[in-house]
Amino acid sequence: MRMDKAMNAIDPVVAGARAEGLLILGFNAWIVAPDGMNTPDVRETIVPVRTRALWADQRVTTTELESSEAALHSLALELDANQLSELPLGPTDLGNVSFVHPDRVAPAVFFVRANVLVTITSRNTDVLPLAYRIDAELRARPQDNVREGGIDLQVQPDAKQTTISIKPQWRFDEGYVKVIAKGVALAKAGKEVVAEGKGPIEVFVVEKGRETYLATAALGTL
Amino acid sequence: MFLEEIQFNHQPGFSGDAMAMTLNRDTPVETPEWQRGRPAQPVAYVGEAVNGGVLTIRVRFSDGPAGQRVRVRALDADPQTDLDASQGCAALVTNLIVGAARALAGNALGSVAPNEVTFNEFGISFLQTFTLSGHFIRRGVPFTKRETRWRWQYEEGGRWVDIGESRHTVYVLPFAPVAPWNTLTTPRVDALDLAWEWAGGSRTRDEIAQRITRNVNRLPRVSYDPMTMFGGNGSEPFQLTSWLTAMRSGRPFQMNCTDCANAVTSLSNLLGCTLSCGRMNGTINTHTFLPIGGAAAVDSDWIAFNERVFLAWDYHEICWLDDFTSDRVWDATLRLDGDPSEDGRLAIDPVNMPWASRYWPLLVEVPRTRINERLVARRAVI
Repeated sequence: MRMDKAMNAIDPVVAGARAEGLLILGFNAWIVAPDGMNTPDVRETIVPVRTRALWADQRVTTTELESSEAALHSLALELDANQLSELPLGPTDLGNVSFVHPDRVAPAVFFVRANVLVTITSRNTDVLPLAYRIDAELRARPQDNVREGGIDLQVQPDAKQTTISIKPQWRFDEGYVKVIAKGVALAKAGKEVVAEGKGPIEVFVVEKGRETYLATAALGTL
Repeated sequence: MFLEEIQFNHQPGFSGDAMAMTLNRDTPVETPEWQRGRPAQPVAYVGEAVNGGVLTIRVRFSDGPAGQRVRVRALDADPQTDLDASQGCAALVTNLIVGAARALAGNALGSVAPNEVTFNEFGISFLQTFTLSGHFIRRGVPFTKRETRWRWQYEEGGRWVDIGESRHTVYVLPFAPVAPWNTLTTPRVDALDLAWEWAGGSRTRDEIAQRITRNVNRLPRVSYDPMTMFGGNGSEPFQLTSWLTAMRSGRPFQMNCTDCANAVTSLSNLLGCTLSCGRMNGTINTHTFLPIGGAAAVDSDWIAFNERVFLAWDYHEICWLDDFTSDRVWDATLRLDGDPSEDGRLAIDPVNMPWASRYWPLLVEVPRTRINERLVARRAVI
């Protein structure tokens, strides 16, 4: 599917994705398992921001981009590597935008949530249930077992934007960082996060089997 | 005396020594390739580049006689290769047989000619250059993977005394690797091993490309998917490591035309072919074909991507000899239907096929197919 065709469908969601105020750091393809499974058959780090997990017949690839705009652009590039001339839009409640394979070819779904591009392909397993589980994990504000602390959060405003430094106080291998600031455009900038907008920011460190840590601050510019 | 280390790749280029390699994406083959007490690392030579010329290695010893010079050599430890033609007709015939056998298997590096080694006051030598004698690295040699076993000796009082043995896995490539190898990516042993499995014994570039294309097309547990699975869109690198992992996982996996073109180009060019991935963008309405993983005898396995019945392709990518100026193509993604009748099916491998007169008319409905853009690439490999 040509990139320009994909962008026609993607363009209308760019502003909404930006205003969602969600940024994910360190998310891996194996963090969310299909129902009834625990360990993937294969887990790979293709490059530091792109990981892949194979769960029986389902192959999940996640790519972490700098921002939601970059992820949506990357989705269009990904679809440009699909030989099909048309790809239907996926369910409207999946990701910021999603595409699926039509019925006559092997199941596949491609979607973006915040700055994460997710691709799930399979030979003949319905991939949508796993896609919904991953999307729910990405977008949810952690509620249970959350405790304040455990994160060094530094906020440095300047005239245009705020630079945020996030340093968890412990090493975690299987977790990820979730930044939520409604209505604020968030983006990765090297090891830091930059934010355009004002309001409260919440930073969570999420790791399966451990309590979730939370740090908060207020965003603004000078 | 101890043999401490042997360096096979010790100078730039590969006309007089071994080629630089990595074991896989992340692990280089380190020099020295052989060190006492550590697992030996593989080495590779290029037949066309060496072409029977002088090959050298650099070797270091320890526990030698302090402040003295000693002659050292290494014999081919395979006994059948120590025959001498002066021993008569039987030996001469045997030598011919052994010679022929060595062109295909066994020790390719011959033996290590004697040379003097100087030891310092602590009995340690500097790295000393040795010349290989009787090696089989020359133009026309087939692609092989061999074992060399050397029996190291030093001379004392007019007789040769054993030091110990060293063993080496040696790849002999008929031709120098072509881009992306040695330009964007260092040649890799994991790729060489797969190429060896599929194209071992090949002497020509056509044979290499043909065997690799057929093997990719006949991969077990693979099926066609229109989505690119292993990278390579635009200038993105081909994810060779991930593809190898998928093959070894024992699980079903999928490939599309870009994956197949990248796999064939990467492996073939590693052995000196000059293929490129050529992508044609446009509206491509195909005839019925047998996709990768399909069984020719199963009618439902034959499919078409055509607006008349489903969707067209937006692009197709195949391997071209050199670039689009040639008329020769290889395609591991599919087998064409060579039966001119409506109902019959004859699966044909598109290997070294003329594009304009054969491949393209068999694959697509030419009047209903439009190519807007052609892109050519030899992608880096990760």
